Amino acid sequence: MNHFDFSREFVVDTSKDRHYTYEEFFGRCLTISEQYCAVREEHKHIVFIMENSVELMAGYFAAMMAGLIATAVDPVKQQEEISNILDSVTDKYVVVDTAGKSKVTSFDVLFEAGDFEKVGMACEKVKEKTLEKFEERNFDDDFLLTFTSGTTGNTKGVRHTLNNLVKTGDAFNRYFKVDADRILAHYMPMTYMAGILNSIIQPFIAGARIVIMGRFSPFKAFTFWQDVVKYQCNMFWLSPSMLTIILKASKHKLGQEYCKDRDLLFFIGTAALHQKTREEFEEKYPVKLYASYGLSETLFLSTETPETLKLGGGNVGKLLEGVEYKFGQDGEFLAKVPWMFLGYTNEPTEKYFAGDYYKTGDLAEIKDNILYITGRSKDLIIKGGMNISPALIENVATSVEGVEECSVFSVLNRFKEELVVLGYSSSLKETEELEKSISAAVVSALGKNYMIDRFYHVPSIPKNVNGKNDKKVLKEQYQKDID
Amino acid sequence: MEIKEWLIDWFSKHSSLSVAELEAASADDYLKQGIIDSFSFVMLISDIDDEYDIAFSNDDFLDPRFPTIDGLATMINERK
Repeated sequence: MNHFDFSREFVVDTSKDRHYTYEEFFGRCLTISEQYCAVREEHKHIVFIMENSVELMAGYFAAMMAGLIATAVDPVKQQEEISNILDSVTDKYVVVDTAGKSKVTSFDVLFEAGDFEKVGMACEKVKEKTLEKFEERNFDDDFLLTFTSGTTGNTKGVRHTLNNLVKTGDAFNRYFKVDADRILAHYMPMTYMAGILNSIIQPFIAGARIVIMGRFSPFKAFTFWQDVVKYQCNMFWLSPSMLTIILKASKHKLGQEYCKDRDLLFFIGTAALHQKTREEFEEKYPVKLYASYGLSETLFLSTETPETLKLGGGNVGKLLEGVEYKFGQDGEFLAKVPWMFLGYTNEPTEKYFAGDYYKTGDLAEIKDNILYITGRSKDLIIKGGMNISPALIENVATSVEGVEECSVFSVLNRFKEELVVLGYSSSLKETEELEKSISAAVVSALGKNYMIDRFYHVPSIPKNVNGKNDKKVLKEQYQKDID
Repeated sequence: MEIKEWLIDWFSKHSSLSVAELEAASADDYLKQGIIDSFSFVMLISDIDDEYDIAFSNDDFLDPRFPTIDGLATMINERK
């Protein structure tokens, strides 16, 4: 950070079209960090229940400088879940915005985040003072507590040090030579890891700029390219479902024109990127998508690179430098990283480890240090003694013309045998022929053991907040519909 | 076909409600009430663009009339 030019632009708040230099941003963060320091004796956690905003981003940096644990809670979560999270965090000071305030019932210490623009600058020597604060900070102490979005209903509190975030962000940046010329369009939810590590810490340590676009929504999709062009963004972190919505919403040539002859980095994370989505996006826009793989606990594990893209075949790229792995008995991918989380706050951590290796819950294969995710171990369907990977069926089914999205799960028949169900969305009204085509494609690609037993046509596949398919909700819908 | 009629026809094809139910719910917020989901919403705006050659802006999305069938019909009519 010592080499950063503090007169350069660092953050853009698009809600007000307000641009902040490092000087202006950190001058205000210092003021906020002084407020936090005043409560440090009694409160070690600063809990943020806030929507994506410059105020929230500043809150994280202020907590960093005040030596506190930034605790991120999504205001979109249900009130009961937020209450449970708050009950699980001790010694807390809660900061809210309007969205967060409506979800908090009663609290001893509650502070409303003010308008960042109106926060005074702490002092004249902002750079010196900021560096001093960072030097005082112990990078190996707890810094960040996030709560997983979870599709199982069990939200887990994941603890990380600042060192973890910096090390993994740096390892990732090295593959792409991310530098100060990059301008990131920030769309990921800012209270989950992808919205913090990928979209704040990773660009920050590279000296890149961050344009806060607000949390992605269908509304944002219609103005996606207009906003990108306006702020000249050249780096993106998006989820596969965001890509799908952008594809559907963008009819005009603006995006295609903007992507021509520009060096743009499109990083894709939080869920599996299906080949069909990739092909459609890359066909429409002259860009390359780089899928990555990681978990809130292990942070970045792998990323596609220009070299691995040439391999094709659904890989999630090269393991990052420092990542070690082995496989569990059922083929579960176990990972050991130099930036491993410190533990859960509300779950016994030991059961998620095999020695020093974290049990990712994913099934994978490694060929020449390239990682291929083949499914989730908990989603594995055992049918007639065979292990059936839903991910393999999903990959084939999404490639069939007419299938928009799909998700495979299992149900038990009256003999307590598992049946393979393919939930899918399609704009076709008559789906009989489509289902025959899917069956034929799956059997041809994977063999008869992978035959789909039931089809379930839905308007869309339910998603969790990070854009992952929510199999649990889909299965519940299915069971309700057939009852 | 009248704009409101076109919208109700569109919603009847993309939601679980019938034409009669949609007519009764034409002043309700179609997103908050879960009449359509976010993917269908994207299809709706895209189909309006195809049918009436109207591209909505950020300001339009913030218009309180936008999330109801009645309000949307009025907005499209104003643009035609």
